[in-house]
Amino acid sequence: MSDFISGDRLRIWAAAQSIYRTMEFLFPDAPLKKFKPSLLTTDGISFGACGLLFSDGAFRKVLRGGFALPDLKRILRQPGHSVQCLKRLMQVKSLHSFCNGTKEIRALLAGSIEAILTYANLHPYSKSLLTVPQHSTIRIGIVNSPTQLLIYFDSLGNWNLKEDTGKRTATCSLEFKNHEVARLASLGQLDPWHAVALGSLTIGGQLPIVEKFGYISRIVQREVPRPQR
Amino acid sequence: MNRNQSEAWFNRACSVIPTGIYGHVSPSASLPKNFPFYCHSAKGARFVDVDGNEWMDFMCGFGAVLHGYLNPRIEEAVAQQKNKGTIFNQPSTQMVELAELLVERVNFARWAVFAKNGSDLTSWAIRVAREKTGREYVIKARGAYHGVDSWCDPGLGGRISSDRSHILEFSWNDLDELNSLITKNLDQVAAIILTPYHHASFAQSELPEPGFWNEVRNLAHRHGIALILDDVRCGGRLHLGGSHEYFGFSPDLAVYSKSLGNGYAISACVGSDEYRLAAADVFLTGSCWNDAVAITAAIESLKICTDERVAESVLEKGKQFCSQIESLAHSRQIPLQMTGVPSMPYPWIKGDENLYQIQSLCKYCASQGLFFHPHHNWFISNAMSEEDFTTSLKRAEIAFDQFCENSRNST
Repeated sequence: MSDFISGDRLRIWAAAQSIYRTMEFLFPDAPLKKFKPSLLTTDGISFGACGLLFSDGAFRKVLRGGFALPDLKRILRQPGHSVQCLKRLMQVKSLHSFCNGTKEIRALLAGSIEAILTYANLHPYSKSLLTVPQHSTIRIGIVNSPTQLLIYFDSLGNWNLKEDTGKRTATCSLEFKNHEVARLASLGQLDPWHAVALGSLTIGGQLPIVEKFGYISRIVQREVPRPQR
Repeated sequence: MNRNQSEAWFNRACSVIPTGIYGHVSPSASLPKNFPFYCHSAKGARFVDVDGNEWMDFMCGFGAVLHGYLNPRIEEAVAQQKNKGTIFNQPSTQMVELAELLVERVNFARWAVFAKNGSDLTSWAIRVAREKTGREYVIKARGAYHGVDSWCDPGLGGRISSDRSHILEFSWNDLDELNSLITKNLDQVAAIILTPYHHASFAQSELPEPGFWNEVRNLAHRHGIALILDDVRCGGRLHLGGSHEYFGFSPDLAVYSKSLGNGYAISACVGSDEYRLAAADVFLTGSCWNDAVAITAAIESLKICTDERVAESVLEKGKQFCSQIESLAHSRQIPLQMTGVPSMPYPWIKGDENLYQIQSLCKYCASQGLFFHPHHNWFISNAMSEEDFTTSLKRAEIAFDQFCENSRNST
């Protein structure tokens, strides 16, 4: 993939990446590689090499809660795979309307971070902001939750996300007071300044890096369509 | 520590002010659960927050207060001027007096102009340099703060690509990099703008290495580049005649603000004769910039600087304090270093690149009513008495013990 992709396509690509990351956290034991999204050269997003294929426009429509058909030839070629993929997509989509389990909230959080990372890697202005040392890491946790998420710079030169239970100090850290606050943040419904000031969200370490990712998250919130019912 | 009023006011603020409190005093830039959000009153070297908690203040309104809050001489002069008025159709004669005072005091200065904030005049000084040289590029140190305008602000929003297309950066003290920028952009650099030493936030302060300023001055002179000193933060705290005298060089233009009015909003730019005509051709004004009250405060403040040898005094007070607080820390195996100059020390814990330790230490200090900022240089005010320092150090001792105990428990 090229260094940057056009604005319109980046928006839906970030949404697709976010959905896939949510799936990974929601179904950690399922063989999900076959649904990994790819952005086709001119038009279309495919979930899996021969899986569901949406045109850019159709995918945008689906995200907005409308009805749009994926490529029928693909469905007919692999109906089982397509139905499975559709089912997973619907499950992720439903999280954006209703989500209260800790596992679901963590998945939602991971998905929303993935959209931010897509911008950190591919959105020209966002990428230009992140002139931070490449060993920088951000630890994201929820109070009393053993598993944390770690944003790190991978060997391919991209910002990436993984689960982490280690105690290694990160360059900076964010901790949500509880799962509800994390859920609101994932849905873009948390006022970060209010949350930080009044303790719903605790930040520490090299705050300028948090600030940069926070700013990118607001660009993402403005630009990337969220799955709606 | 009670914070009910702070939080209640913050909640009210959030519905009518974006982010509640913005800029350098935003809660998210410091210790939101430990520092107050709103102040009620202040006197001398202490302030009281809206919950009635009294704090030993080591930020001095982020440097704006040099002679202590409500300094009697300044308040008296201000009160007299207030009886006559503040803003008029034309400037007051005090503006002339203040300009004369600055020209007399700052050795290279032949003229002065006034505004309200540091940013007003750092940006204007760059335009003066561009007018004089007919060039476009400006060189600054990476991470240096010069104000809120789009060419330099540390924020991220509201920018367009051209905002910084003529701004070049080098690492503080790296003369090779500076030289290389000038050579690569030969005859295109209008100005080099620098602070007297590097006092970036979230990083230890860096003093100029021996020969740094001489070489910068020589480079600027050799290439016809204006050397602008951003003395907004340091002005008044290093040398009576401006911080360039402390470091032994001479700029072409210098900008002052913060402590100039001891809390009354005023900024000044002074310049050499060579820049007078260019200054005349770069438009400068603001409805309230001829504020006779702030100008009066600045005149009195400068007089106090002379009478009480304030720069020397705050340097000496800071030196004593830094040495004592470092000793307190070192005796507890906390490798605290007060970096930068003693009148504006920046706290740094060796090996704490991610800042968690200093953040934790400052939290404990806050619980003792010490306003020690973890990410910004502190400021020493001349109102700080022996008793203020003794009280602060006693409180710091308790806080350091709590910090050590917590560190032991968490390992």
